[in-house]
Amino acid sequence: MRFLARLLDRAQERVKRSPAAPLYPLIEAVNAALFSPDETAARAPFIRDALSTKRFVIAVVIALFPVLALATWFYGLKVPVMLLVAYGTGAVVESVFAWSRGEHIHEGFLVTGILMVLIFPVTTPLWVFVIATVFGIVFGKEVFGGVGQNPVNPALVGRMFVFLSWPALVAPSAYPEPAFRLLEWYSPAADAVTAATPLLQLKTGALPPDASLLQLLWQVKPGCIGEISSGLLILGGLYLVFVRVVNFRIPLGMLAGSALATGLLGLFRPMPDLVGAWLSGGFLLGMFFMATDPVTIPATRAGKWIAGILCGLLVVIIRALTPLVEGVMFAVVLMNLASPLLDEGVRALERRKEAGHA
Amino acid sequence: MPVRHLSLSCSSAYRFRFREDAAVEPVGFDGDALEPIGLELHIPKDAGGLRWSSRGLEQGVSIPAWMPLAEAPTPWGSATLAMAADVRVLEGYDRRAPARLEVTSPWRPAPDALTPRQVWLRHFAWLRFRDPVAGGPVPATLVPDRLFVSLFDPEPLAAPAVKPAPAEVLAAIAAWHRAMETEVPVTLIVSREQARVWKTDEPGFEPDEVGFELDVLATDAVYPAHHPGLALARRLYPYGFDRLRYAWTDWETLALFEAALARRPEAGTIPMRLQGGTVRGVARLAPWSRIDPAALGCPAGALLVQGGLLTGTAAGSAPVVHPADRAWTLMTADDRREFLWFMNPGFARDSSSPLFASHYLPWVRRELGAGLRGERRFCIACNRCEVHCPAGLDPQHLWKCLRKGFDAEAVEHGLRRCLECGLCSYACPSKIELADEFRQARAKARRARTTPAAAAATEASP
Repeated sequence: MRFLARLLDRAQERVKRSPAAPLYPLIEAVNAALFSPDETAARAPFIRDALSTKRFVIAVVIALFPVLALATWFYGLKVPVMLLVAYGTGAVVESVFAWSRGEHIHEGFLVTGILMVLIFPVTTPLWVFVIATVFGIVFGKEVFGGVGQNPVNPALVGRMFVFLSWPALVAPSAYPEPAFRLLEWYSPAADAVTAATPLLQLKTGALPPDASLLQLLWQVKPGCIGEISSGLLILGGLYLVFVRVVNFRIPLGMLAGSALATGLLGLFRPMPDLVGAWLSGGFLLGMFFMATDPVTIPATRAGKWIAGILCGLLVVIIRALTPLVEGVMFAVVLMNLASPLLDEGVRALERRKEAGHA
Repeated sequence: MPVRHLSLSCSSAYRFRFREDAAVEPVGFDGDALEPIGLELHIPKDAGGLRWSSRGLEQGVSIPAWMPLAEAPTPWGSATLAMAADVRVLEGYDRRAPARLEVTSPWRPAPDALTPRQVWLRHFAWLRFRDPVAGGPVPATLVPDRLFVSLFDPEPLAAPAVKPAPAEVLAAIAAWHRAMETEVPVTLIVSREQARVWKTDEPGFEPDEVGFELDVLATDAVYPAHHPGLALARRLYPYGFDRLRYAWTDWETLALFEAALARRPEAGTIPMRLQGGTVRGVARLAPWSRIDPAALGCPAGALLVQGGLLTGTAAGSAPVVHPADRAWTLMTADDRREFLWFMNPGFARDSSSPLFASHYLPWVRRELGAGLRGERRFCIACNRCEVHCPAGLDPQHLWKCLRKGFDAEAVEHGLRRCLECGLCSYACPSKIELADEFRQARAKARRARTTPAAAAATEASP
């Protein structure tokens, strides 16, 4: 370990002074990922919490890893390959933008990449996947100024782009049935067995009568890669809430908002079962991992509650009242777009309250 | 054997924690379980009645010896020889039980002996004491950037007294300004009740009518009892808050002032000697002594932090030591890389992070430890700064306002209420220099207000 650290340090110093200086961010990124970087505070406070954004990122990766492993078991080698493709593409795009700006490479795309894999079905061609990744990172994040500046979730931007461009490839009406395919490469011809997702069954009222909520929770289900197991998503999400990487207000608000919308709409028309709707489709993935991206949600506490409730409302409304089967993607993006406004409103109210007191 | 990390605090128990050095790495050393340390500490056992005790340290030989102290000019003359005892601690210790060498002295008063009213009086005793002793000009390093004056003790959360009268307070501060022949912005921390009483009873109490910039921070308590920042503050207390020392009703610092007032220079004297490959020398930490980092044998790239890790300043050449500089930290260039996980010497954890078993698995800490990034840093809006802010501000929002040049909006959102305590910078996972940016923005706003042209412009514009 010590040898590697010294080697990296020496390489970093040498590259910094050499003509290959543009490569410096890359070496720095590797060094920073493995060891703590050599930069320290020149001004107070000289003491810093050991918590860093890197840990935020690693925590999300840890939370999502079981889902990926399970998906690899059931969908085959294409899943890890998709992850590699997402990371490779993301690293290239990030590096290009970091170099052009003279910045360090930020580790944020590690989360974006893993989320990109989870929100696509395994049937997606890799070229579509690459386009989504590039589009999402460039037009979801980099054009707005990079990490911390993106108004909406970059992974969802990429998915929206390809969803609207090639709907049949990205959101087919039937998904492959999960079966043991570890060490296999998924191909549509060989794996002709497809099934409707529980979400579609819920919407059309064609859910098999023997399908209980417990089955939705524990069984693997067809759908996007990340939707394979609700149980693992819940575990990962609770882990993130527990270690306080994810703010609990958004998930709770989404649950409350969807319950509210289901109750209200249920007055006028038959609605699918509420808990079933939570456990099927991308609701859990969106609730724990998409809508909670701290950059894209309001900064104020009241704003977070409102945003969560708004997102839950939108999910149910889109699912029930539009031809779309899944509404989480659009709901989260709409909520993200409303976030600055919510913040402004909450802050204005707080200021007015303060002025009233004084 | 070089000393890798040394943290000294004049008023609290000294806490040492050292990391291994490659030069003394024994064969088969795995880097995790045991760490050899090298330290030679010379403590005047009989001077000032200092006692030392160690915990978690295996002691080596202890040799009493006469140690010459460095020539250190003080208001009371130069230093003399003192009796010293060597404490050689050369054995290893287990990192899981952080080594601690505690030095106690009997001249610290019991905290119960002081009441808030007395503290208030002592604050002004201290202010008077800041008059130049020999009648010469005040060294620039002795003038603080900002003076925090608290009229109650936020730490025990006791109900603060409504008194004293504001005219008395302002007169004392103004007298201090006259004596120092300087103008220092003042943050006055009062309870809400005090603020209300003052505003109704004293119509003349207006910040505009005093000759210096005055911010009044009215708060029920700087921290509510359940505030997460309070736990952090308690944890970091011996190492920070030098700028808050007035606000924090710092018993120990006050005791030092008391001792200095009594012209007992030996009370604050801590002769120490660091020996090793890179650091050697004799430093004398006496009130108002001058300390030259070169005298410590600091290698190039070493950083000497004066006045606490949380809010102090990097010591320049020959910084002045005075009682309020309660903490000194010497980091060699080599240390600075690993500094972030050495962190809090003497504390059980080096992070308030609930993530990972970093405390128990050193290699995890090594690989996932935090780092400071380059100049451009990314706010990910995690809101940890807001959670820690004792003044109830939203530092990330202020920072974004300042980054975009919306200075007026930042002021509107309470920039002037910032205590500059540094907790936001401490907590920021992106390692953004929040406190420093706020400090600079406030200085800029102050300049804009005090420059006659700017003042005229603001008067003319509306």
